[in-house]
Amino acid sequence: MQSLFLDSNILLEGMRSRWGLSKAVLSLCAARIHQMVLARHVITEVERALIEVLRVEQAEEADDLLVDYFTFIDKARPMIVPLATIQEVTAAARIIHHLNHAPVLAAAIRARPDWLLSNNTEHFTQTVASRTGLKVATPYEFFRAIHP
Amino acid sequence: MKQLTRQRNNTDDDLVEFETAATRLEQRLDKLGVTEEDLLKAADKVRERMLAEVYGLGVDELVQP
Repeated sequence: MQSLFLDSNILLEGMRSRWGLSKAVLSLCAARIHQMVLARHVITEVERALIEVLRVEQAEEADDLLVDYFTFIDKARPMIVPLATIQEVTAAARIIHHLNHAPVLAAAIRARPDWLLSNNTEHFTQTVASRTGLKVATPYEFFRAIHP
Repeated sequence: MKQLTRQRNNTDDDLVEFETAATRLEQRLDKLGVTEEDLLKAADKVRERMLAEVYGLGVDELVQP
């Protein structure tokens, strides 16, 4: 079993599509073939994004949407990484050079997962991987690596 | 052996509930007309706002090496 730290784009892509590699990653975690690792920051970010996309007249749908979201998360039994400290965020920002993503990188550095999976290849680069010692990959790269 | 069977049953139950929740979530988002792109854009904005709210840091700054 490998531990997979997931960026929010993997969660969102996986929950929005019936098929696809991000969905496959989520299902394999739910089946305990891999261990899902989620930053508290990512869980909250996705929760708030789900609310944010609703139009005013759709607001009453929010509760049902969130119940399904938290069941979806809970049943995958993730290891949850607490919010990073400001010092950890500042240190991570020096590595990723983009402050927005620093809390997520800081959580991954603390969690030391086997893989950090993100579809954001612009910021979660191989330079970031080499500077942190993390294996950073898209779901496609991850599956290519474990099924050569 | 019984413990292993119980663990496997628990995992199977969780997987079924996970897939059920995933399907419901997908159907709700379909019904609401929310696309993956909408969600990714919203998450980007939330990430930026959380930086300020949680850490009091400025928005989208490029940090020099």
